Amino acid sequence: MADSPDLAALSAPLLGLIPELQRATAQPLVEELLAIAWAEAAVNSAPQRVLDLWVSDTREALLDAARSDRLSVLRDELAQARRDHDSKLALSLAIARYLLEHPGTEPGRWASPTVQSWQAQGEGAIALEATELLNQLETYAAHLQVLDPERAEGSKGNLHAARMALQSARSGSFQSAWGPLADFLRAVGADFQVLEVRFS
Amino acid sequence: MLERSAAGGREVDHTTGAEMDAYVQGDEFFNYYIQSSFDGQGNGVDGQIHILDAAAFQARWLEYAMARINPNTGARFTEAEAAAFQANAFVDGQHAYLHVGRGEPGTAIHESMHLFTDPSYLPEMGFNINEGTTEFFTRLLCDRVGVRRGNGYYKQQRRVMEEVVEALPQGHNVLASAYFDGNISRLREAMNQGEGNEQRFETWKAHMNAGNWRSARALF
Repeated sequence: MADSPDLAALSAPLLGLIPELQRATAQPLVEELLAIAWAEAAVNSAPQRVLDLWVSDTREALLDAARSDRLSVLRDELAQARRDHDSKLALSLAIARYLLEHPGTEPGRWASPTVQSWQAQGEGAIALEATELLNQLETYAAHLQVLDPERAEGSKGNLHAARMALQSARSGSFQSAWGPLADFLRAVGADFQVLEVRFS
Repeated sequence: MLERSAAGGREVDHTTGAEMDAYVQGDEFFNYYIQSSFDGQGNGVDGQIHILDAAAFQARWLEYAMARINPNTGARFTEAEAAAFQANAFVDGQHAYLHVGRGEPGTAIHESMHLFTDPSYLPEMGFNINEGTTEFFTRLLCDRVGVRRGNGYYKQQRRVMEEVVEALPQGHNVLASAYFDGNISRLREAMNQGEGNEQRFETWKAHMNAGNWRSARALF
């Protein structure tokens, strides 16, 4: 894993785009966003390039908005980052649970360090974390539906893939799947059905 | 085939299968790649896209879902569990069933793209690349025929595919050949060209499968 960069230095130009009176509110949001970015970048062979993309995407989103709307845009960007992070965790939890229940499986590249870490913690810890993430996901989906119905509509597919992965992680049932978990089950030759539900 | 009836509430002006066939056949790029999917009578997805009113959709969906296992319980879906899904559509074999009051006019175009996709693309490339590519071509066609398409559908996956198309020589054609014709080896060769890029395709695919969008984009 690469050495952690100076996240305070990276956050400064982003905070500079936020109206001065809102910067104190924005600072912890930017720091959390960059921490999520670093979690992805740190395990990449080109961490700086990945981190730069996160920063430039956020900068682009802020610049596209009126100055008075930028704090709100920053909140949206952070919410998206959290959901993407949780979707990846959902997949890791489901894979870890599957591997615990099917010990002869050869997972190949699907056995990431996160998957292995959850395997080591066992089924109970996986089910507990999956339940917590499911509750967060449902709360987020309900809020988004009220606050921004168009964005909620566009997010349904990815949210549902995460929801189903978390349900499998909690229950230990892998007889039906959809989304990236189905990719994993297909790769390891599992006997399952794809639930062809669509949110497009 | 149009199976549409008003049932109260919002009704989306869904694109029909016949309209989709006409859009595709009227566009030089799409017609080139999709023509082989049409039968001798000129039918592509006409007859495979079913736009159902709320009651008919619910009945079909319940029949479909209740024959399958709910990952939340490990048992077959009960009626209440299946009803809670609120899906815009579902696919059973080569037929897509759309709820008349859910989604938007581009929904049928997205689902039709899936029906035109080479069957090797999803199992070979995975869910995220498949959805990103489907949405990429959906938006391309929607722009050309004037059908409104929301910006949020599989936005992250689509953005990666847009950058792949920009980065590769003849990117649109290479991707279309992989997606519609199953010519994935050509996409692999295009991605792996150049010094230091020998493993780029496999690395990119692994990042996409894991949902690491920026890591995937960082390769281009």
